[in-house]
Amino acid sequence: MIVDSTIPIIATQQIGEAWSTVILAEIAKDRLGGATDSLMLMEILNAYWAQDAAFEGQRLYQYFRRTLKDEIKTVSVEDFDRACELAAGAPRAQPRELLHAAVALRCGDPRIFGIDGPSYDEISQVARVALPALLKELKLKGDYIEERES
Amino acid sequence: MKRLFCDSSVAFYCTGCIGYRWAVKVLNELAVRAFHADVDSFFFMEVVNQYAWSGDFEGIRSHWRLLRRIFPTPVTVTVEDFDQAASMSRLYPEAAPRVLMRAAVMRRCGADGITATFSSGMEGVPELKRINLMSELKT
Repeated sequence: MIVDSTIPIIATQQIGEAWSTVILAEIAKDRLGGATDSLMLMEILNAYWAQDAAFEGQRLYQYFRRTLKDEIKTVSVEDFDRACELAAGAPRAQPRELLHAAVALRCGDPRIFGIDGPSYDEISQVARVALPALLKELKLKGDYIEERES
Repeated sequence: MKRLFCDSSVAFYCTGCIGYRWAVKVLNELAVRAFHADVDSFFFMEVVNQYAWSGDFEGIRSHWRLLRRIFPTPVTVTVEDFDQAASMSRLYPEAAPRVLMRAAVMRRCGADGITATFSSGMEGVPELKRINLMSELKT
């Protein structure tokens, strides 16, 4: 499973850094068999720099880099080419989503975990995993799920 | 042989300001000149993102293929390049992450300079020696 960049960027705002930390720690411990790709690193830096919050971006970058260590896949040129091929069947998917999808397919697990990104549904070769389902799989029933269920 | 890196802003500017056909001519010219012109893999991502923001999804497919033909051997950006970029962002907070990432790749590849149309804060970064595209094409 590939973790979309929305986890460090949006999840930390929507569900709190503590939850996204739990999820990423589970990946690091190999309980989730997940990974991310280097596009996530670029997007962390970009998102915070664009909001004049470069310092916060660096802090978050270092945190996720330490947590995920070797589970960050380098995006290859072939991944970009694959993303372009995927675009033909998913005209409304964003380039970033196509690229995450290409990396997921290369890694042999077509699941993508992200907070938003309904256009992943357009990419028939991959399946998006929603946060509540993931937390249930991990048996991490906490405040977030209870709020959604109530 | 001079090794020149192309920032993705060359492609944004060219396609946005001088038109797609001219952009192709300029980039083709750049790629076949006596100096070695390079791009990194994220160059393509940044270019197609521009099309996505403007809703031009046809542009994504057609321009991606075209740019890949012009630059057939882009340099892969490694995770370590991003680490370098993150470190540099402390020193050069004005510079956009994309140019710092490019500086890290250029340092690793031993590139002589970069050509760009939007500097995005690269003036303050000594690793990024800016090379004027038009001067290069005139010589």
